[in-house]
Amino acid sequence: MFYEQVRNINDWSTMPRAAQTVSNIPHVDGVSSGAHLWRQERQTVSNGINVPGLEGLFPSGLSRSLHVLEAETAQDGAILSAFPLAFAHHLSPPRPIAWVTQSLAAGEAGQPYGPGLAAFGHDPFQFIFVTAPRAADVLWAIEECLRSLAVGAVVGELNDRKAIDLTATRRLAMRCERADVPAFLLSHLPLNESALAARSRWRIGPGKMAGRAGLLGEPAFAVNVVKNRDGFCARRSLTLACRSGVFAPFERKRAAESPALSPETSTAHETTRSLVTPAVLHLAERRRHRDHLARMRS
Amino acid sequence: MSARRILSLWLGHLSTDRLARQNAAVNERPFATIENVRGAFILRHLNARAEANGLKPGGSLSDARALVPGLAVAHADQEADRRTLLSLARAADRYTPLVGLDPPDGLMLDITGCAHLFGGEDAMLADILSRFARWGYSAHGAVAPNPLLAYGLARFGPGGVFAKNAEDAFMALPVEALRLPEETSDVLVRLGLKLVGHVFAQPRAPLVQRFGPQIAQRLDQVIGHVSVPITPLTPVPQSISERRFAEPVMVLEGIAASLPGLTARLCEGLERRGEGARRTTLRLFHADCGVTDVAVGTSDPLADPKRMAKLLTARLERLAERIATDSGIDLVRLYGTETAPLVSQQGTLEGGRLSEADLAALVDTLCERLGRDAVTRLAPADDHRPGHEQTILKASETLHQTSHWSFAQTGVPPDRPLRLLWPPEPVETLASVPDGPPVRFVWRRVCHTVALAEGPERIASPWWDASHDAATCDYFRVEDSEGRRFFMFRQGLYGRESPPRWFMHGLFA
Repeated sequence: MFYEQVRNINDWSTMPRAAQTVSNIPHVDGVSSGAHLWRQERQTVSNGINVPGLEGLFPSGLSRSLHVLEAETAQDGAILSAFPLAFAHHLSPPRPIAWVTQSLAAGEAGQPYGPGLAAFGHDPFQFIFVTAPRAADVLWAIEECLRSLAVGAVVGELNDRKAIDLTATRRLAMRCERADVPAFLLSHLPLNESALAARSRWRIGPGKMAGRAGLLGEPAFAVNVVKNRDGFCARRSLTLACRSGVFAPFERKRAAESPALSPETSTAHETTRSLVTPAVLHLAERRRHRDHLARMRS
Repeated sequence: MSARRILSLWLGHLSTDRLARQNAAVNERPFATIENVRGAFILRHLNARAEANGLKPGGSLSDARALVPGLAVAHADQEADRRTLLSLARAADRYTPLVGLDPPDGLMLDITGCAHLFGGEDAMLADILSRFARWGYSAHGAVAPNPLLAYGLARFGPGGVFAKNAEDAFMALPVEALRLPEETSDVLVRLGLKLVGHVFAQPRAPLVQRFGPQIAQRLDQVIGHVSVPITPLTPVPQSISERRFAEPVMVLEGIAASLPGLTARLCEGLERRGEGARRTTLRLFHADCGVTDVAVGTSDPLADPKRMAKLLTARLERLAERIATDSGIDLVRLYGTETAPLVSQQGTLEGGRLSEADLAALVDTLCERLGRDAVTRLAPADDHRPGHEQTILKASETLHQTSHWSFAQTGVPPDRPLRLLWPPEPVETLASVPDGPPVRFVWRRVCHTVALAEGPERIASPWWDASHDAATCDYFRVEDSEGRRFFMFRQGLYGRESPPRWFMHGLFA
């Protein structure tokens, strides 16, 4: 009897998703109905992934479906990974994230690095990394991950233009919607214009930081949403607060950060001067000097 | 004791039969394998025709050539013989799970309780001999109540099935049947004790005094006072299920279709004991005496027949070509090689435990197709050098572990890259001042102009570890004119004997 019960749980977890939707009649067995309740609760919660800073583009959030992010040029593959990491901050409940990479993409853009992920505010241990040599294997692995209840989001990285086509994306999109789990397909190479079955399609390049005070700030991106079933298409320059996954328009930040633009900001600078230590002061002076030089040059 | 039934198989021409399987011409004329012993070629193994011509193993090749001018020879290969015997033993596994090797040229099968499955001992022995003959190995076999009797009757007697009369038949065999050291049996023969019965007729005490305790031990083994153990080739697994095919199956789908039934039967047996299989082996018996093992391991004990069948099918697909080109498969057997008690898992409303079991299932599925090394997780490592701050663990081994990462050290913007290039790639650079960051650099044949650089962060190799070349590295975070960010370092310092070199180590978002 006891083992029968154990088996019930296993059966439930390996049942096809279609049989688990809310419309089905709940099982009479106590264990199964508990799991069923959990499932129901999850479905009511999941309307979209609300990413702060992207409300203008996605008014009701990113849908839990397939999103394709492609690099602007072949050199920009590495920066794409910031986006799923930012989105993952706003997924609830937090569950492991499957990260499937084509070996070639990992060779070109490097492997995901633990301390770097930790710097993004994620626990590197909650990622399951999968490496596959062929694009077909990558797509298969993404599908398997979406089939599993254990995973909260799936990231797939491909370095193969031909593999990302309408058929492949339609398969993934259907899996996503059935599983109610988002998948982000990162194409490290720019794709052509052919139609894809993704909910949204992004072209992402690095944001130009020239003109900012002489230290590296939060990363910036030039984002071009070329297809969007969840909202609007637009070009944006965005910076990303890595630890919180919050996007912000880039121009505003630039105005606020350059100190000698208006008298108000310079007085604000003066007032902070009394509070800061000499070392910081020295740094700020260096920064201003460098800024000045840059303006002279331009 | 009398209930035990042992089948001894003697493959008298193992070595030459092995060669004849590769080249049919071998058995068409006298043939021998030879070995170089102290500068002289000695005959090792002979085929039936060579024996019929009066040759004996151990004779010299020159004598044999004089007797039989047409004798063909090849060098003996003991290692190949051993391998052949091993694969035959595996193939004989289809008759009983207890198969032991009897080197150099025999097998011992414990067929206690198995014979009725093949229509009795006579039918079973006939089946084994005809199967071995079909594979190209001439064999003699005898069934007797203990291994020593079976051994003697197979090699020196007529063979066949012996029950009560085994000992009587054994008494009429030459004294070599006792498996004594060669010099002992030589002395016995010289003393006139040519048959086993003659030795038994002698008083025990003088024999032991003259030849040592072994002879008494052998005599006890003959009459069954001391039992001889058989070491099984494969440890007998707890649970087995099998499926026989009337005709050899040539297509993969046929075998895959039989899997659900096999796994269901195996899991039924396991579940009755409250266990799951941690390791499952599917053994495919080829019609031409080969055996292929397909093993799958899972991170959690498995008692779900559907998942077990799915994991095995994925593995089978890799063998598709071999199955199609071979002679087909006539028996499939599934072993629960390693079992473990099932841990009861109570699902919580939040899906806590439940998702752990799901994760195990996912990891197993991925590992089956892509290999265990392809599914990984990251754990922190106690090292300060970039690139060494993490260890890559196999996901299948870390399912029940918890995270040890700490988030304290990170700054804004991140001071460690999101993607790591391993190993670091060399970069050609142009720096304005020797110790400063580069102004321009060429990486992967593309020229980048540096807009901003932060650094250096000086990181030295551990001085206590002498295996490293102790070059100090200066790390820079660099942004190029288009906004891409790089993590690069200069290895070595200026003013030393070798000039410093630049490397690209990672990419920021």
